[in-house]
Amino acid sequence: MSDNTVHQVRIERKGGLAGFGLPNSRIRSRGSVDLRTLSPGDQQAIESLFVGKTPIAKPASPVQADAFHYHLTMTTADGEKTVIVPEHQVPEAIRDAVQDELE
Amino acid sequence: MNCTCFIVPKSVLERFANDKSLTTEVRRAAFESSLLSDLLRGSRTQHAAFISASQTIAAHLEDLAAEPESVVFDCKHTQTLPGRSVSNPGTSADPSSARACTQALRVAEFYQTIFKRNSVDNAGGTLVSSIHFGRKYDNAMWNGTQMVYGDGDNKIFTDFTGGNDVIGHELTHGVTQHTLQLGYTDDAGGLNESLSDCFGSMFRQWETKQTSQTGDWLIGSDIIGPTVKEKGVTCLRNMANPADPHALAPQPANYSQITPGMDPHFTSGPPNLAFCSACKAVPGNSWDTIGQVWYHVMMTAGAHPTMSMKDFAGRTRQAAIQLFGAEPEVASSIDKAWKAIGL
Repeated sequence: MSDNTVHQVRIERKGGLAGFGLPNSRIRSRGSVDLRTLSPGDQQAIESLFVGKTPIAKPASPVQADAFHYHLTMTTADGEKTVIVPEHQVPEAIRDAVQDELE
Repeated sequence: MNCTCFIVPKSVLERFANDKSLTTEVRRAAFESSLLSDLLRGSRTQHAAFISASQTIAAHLEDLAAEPESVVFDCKHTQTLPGRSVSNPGTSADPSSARACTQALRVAEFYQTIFKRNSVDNAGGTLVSSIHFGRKYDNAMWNGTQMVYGDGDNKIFTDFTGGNDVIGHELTHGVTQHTLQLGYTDDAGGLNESLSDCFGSMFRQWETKQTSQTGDWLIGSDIIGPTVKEKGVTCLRNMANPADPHALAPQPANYSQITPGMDPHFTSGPPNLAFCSACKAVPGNSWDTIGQVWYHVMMTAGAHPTMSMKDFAGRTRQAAIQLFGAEPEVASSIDKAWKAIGL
């Protein structure tokens, strides 16, 4: 496994009013980011989500209807891991890394 | 109060606050941000608890206002909510502001005229919309207290304030929050989404004077962008044909295709089809009969965060008999529509 792979965070943004990334959906929102290009604060924020130091926000109360959620995948010491994070908990640099595409 | 969506976890803020290698100013800012984050989260939780309690114990309270105001905030392409207040939003030179403001009032007028409901909370509560959220943001949402609209990227989507059914959809999430209080997972999530599509479509038909038979039952057709239109896509979803290949996100058409954990925008397909089919089977306007039945269940069932689709279907069958006993075709249309989707 290359050093680059370890630092890559693959991102898929799902849900929303239009249903990005649903089983039959024709629209997807994907990207990736190298952790090393993020600010120290953002790096720490992302890494904390994966190692369980920062709890992922439970479903909001009241419901945030039609909000996006982000599937973040990274290679950790325990292998590849994916966490699902509500949009408000995702740093701007991660949100800006996705591209909306029509398939 | 300006409400900021915090993206730095509390634990990180606390670490910075205690980091002696940082300046006093930075450490103080981190400490204060951590406190503010707690206060904002607490206020949202309290707001939710207030809504929940008020549905059961405060129904007799008088309206806050005879009719709602509609206010608009401009996020200026940030994701900070609510944004900067727009003066006279209904007559603003910014078409997004004018649409968000006036259409929200039109949705409120629809609810008042057809369902005798005074705004989202049935107490004249102010309708709050934030526009220009994010950069080329391909979404709109209800965040628990207000509506939020992105501009779209002008390829896949155009400005989300451009769809009157979209505005009706988002505002109805607020109505659901103040009535059934449906959650956003499994059956309840699908019902939550379906109710917004149902009432968003009814509003659109009411505004354009369409009947159940002449309405197109497409969701989001006015916000489809040019790149997507070129590929033959006409809408986000089709309530009359959930599996429509011309929809951006085709859905299942039968309850048997739904399993736990699916996204609510996927599982809303079968109840959407049930509502649409029932409406089309009864001549006239969707809101005159079937819409009244659906609204009656929303108003009388009480808080049901985990309501099943089977439960909702059963309640609509009962309500149809109760409200339209002299018109048996209403009850039979609803019964037939649910059976056709597997409930």
